[in-house]
Amino acid sequence: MNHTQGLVPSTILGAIDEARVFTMMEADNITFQPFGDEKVTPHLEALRSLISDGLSEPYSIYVYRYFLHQWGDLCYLALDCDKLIGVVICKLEKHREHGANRGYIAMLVVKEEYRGRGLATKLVKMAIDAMIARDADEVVLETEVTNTSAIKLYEHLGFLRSKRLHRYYLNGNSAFRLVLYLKTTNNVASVADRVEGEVEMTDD
Amino acid sequence: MATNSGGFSDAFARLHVSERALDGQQPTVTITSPTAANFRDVTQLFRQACQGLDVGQLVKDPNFTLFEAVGALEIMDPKMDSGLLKPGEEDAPPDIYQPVLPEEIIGIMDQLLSSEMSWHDGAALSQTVFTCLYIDNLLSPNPTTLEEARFSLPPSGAHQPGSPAYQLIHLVLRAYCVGLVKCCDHVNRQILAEHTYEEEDFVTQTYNVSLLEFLSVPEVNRLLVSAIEYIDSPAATWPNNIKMALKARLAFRKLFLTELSREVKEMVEKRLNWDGCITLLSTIGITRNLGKAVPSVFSIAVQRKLASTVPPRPIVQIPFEEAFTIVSRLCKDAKEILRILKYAGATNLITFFLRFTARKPQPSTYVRSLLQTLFYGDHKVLGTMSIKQLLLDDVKELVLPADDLFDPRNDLSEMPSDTRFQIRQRMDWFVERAGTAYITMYRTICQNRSRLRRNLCHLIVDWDSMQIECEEIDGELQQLIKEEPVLHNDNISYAFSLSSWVYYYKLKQMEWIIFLGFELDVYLPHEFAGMYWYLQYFLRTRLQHLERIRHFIHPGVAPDSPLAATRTPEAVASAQTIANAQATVNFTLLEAAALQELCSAMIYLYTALARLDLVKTPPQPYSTDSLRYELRMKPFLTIGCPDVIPFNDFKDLVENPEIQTLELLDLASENTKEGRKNFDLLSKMTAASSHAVLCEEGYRLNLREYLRSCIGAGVAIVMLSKAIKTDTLADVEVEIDQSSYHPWFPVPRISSKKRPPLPAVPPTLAR
Repeated sequence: MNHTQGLVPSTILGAIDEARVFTMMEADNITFQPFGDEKVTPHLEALRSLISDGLSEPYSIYVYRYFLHQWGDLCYLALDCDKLIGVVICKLEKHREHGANRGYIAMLVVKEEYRGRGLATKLVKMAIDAMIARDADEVVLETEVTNTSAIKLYEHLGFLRSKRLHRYYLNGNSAFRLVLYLKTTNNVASVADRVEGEVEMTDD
Repeated sequence: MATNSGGFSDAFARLHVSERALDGQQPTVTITSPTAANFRDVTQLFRQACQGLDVGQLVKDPNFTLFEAVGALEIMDPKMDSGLLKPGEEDAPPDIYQPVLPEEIIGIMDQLLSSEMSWHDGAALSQTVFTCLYIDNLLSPNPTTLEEARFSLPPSGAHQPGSPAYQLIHLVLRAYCVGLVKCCDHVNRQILAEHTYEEEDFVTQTYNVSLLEFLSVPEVNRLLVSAIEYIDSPAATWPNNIKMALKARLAFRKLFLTELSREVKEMVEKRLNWDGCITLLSTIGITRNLGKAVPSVFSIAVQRKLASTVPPRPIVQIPFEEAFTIVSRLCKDAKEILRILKYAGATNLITFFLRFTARKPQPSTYVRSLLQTLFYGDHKVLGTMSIKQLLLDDVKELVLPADDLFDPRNDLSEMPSDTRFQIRQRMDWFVERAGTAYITMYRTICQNRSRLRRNLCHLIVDWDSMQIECEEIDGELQQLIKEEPVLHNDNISYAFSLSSWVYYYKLKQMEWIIFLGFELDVYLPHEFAGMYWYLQYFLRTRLQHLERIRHFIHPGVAPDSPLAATRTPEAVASAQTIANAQATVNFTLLEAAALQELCSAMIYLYTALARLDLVKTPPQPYSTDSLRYELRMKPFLTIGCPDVIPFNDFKDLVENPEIQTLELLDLASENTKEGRKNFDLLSKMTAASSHAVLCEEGYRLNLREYLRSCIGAGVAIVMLSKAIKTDTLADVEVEIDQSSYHPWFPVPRISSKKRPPLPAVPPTLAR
């Protein structure tokens, strides 16, 4: 993907207090569900507007369809009654021909008034669990270096910053690539492949 | 994802909207200019086609990837469609305000400088220079001569041809705009000539707008001079300070353009450059307040016309003060890099590259590009030398191999069976193999810091295999020259000069990767101890290697060598050359030792902080410590030597579980003291013996920063030990300071939490 048109996984959340999170969720009737497919989950428009309000960069309808039609089962929604209040959008595929089975968290947004309750963490965990169930080797994503709450969220799950990407976004901000290894790369061939992946200029 | 079916496919097949084959073959893109005949209304057909689709059904070309999806624009979406008119907006070009006052012209010139420097700073022309309506007016008609490069403005009563108000726009502002566009032209050419990252460092996209490429610099300069002459003439009836302000801006444009358009050859010959620009800039700064800004002559509406495939992007116009700082720094930096032309040996050159590019803020993309051209433009090093010369200088300065490898007589031999011929073959191979890698290292150092780190991860793999290849060549050479083996660490061994040299640089690059990780904020505080452990491991390896290099400087050859009879006397290294190589190694040993001490101190200090729970590891429910270790070590996993150690060993070595925390801090304290001693010694050395003659100031500043980190760490250690001894750890707070110290050595700042003040009298007794 063109580095200047990177996807911005963005979320703001405050301190995570698990006990509080669940009581709040019950009180608010917050539920989580996979997107599934467009036919059964008529949330595409709500999802688009939620994301375009939350992110600086505009995405065409094709971006959403690209993800949702191929990896609808890796997209999770947070709903308050019927209202969409959070979403995580992902993909999972081989990185290069013989590369790792790489999960990618493309977008993560929680509606502003629902932030600080651990909803984003819950969504990401659901997505990672689904990727693990589908035999992912690793999960990667990019986030703006200034988005400390998002960075903290992922780091509190076990991600590490693997590199900094200079002026990655159209707005001129730099990004961190965050990586979570789920499996070891025991054989040399796959190690070599990863090293090669490291230097690729435009790997997603 | 659905494929086409039924009535839908029929309608779809009749659409023929693209030349693309539906079976996913690579499309051949032919773009023809739209004429009326090419248009066909397909709305009805589309509607019909859609009837055949269910909700949620998708038609997707296999070649339509995420890249296309992200690059696609939706027409009529205001966030994506730069051509969209808001209700009430008109498509007609906005009327240009025509200033009457010279103050307004000064204002526009300064706004243009802000736009230009915003472009230098990474924004696109469509967000900066091209948003100026005067620039748009000048370039829109696609001028092809200087005569045509003029404004076409509606007649205005206040601007009678020949009047000062008319000349202000049509001579003064026009000359300035032509000069500025021409400057952009040369900057773009420079950036495109060298390796930089499009969009990331700089946007070279011109949207098919000509930057007046066809104009010659003297032509543009004559125009600028004629504007200056007009201002000086009695016809221009403005106060002197106004005249001075206008003239300084025009004269700056002229000199700036002259500098930007110089050929490398010319720069090599004429070193006295940029001073005129720097002087004029100070006048521009002084007269800054005379200008009156005219914001209305900049408009985002210009983007609508630019042949662009990106969504609308906001105007970027940094404040004048910031632009002024950028342009001033650009001129000073561009002047400074000319220093490299005064060649003082390879190790001095590399010190300059390292120090210059590590500056904060980093020198601009333009200057870093120019540095690459000066270094290796026209396939000549510094305009005069071959890669071979520079490469072999570096090799000789550090390891000083046997003389016979460099004897000019080797080049004369044409007999493949001849020893000299065979030596030359191997040296030619080395120059070819290592030369490219060596030049690449310099150019890589010129990249932005994030790219530098990423590219180094790539380079060390090449240097690692080169090391092995060179070991083989070293083995062959030592037989050809009949090298005398020497006892080293209880082993009889040979110099292995070339591979030693490669190994040395490989180790340095491995160190840089981790150091840059600190600089770029890639590591979390709880990882610091482990990363410093690897640094001291690499440094310790390099120290041992340097000891070996020192032992084998200028290796001897057997007296009965067949080469002895024909050896060129001048090719034999002088006592001075040998002493110089020894001095270089000794200096490098001291420098590496200083860094190693500081790294060791940091390991103990950050380990102590982790034990005391003052640096916390996040919960990390996913993945494992050993997988995270694997991820961290990824750049080094394929490197043969030094190798990545097993995770459990690493954990023990970093955490030192058998050592008490106070004892750890004592060890750290010893290391900071040793480190400080070494840095003090380094700061007493001359620039020449520090290989810093081209950048003494930057070199010393860097040393002072190391020293500051050393002292800062020392203070933290003392405070922490005291808190342990006085049992006041509960009051201790730690904040990691990334900015006041050396960027490679962030220091924990230890402070005491403010306790709530105790009431003077216990409340129960206060009655």
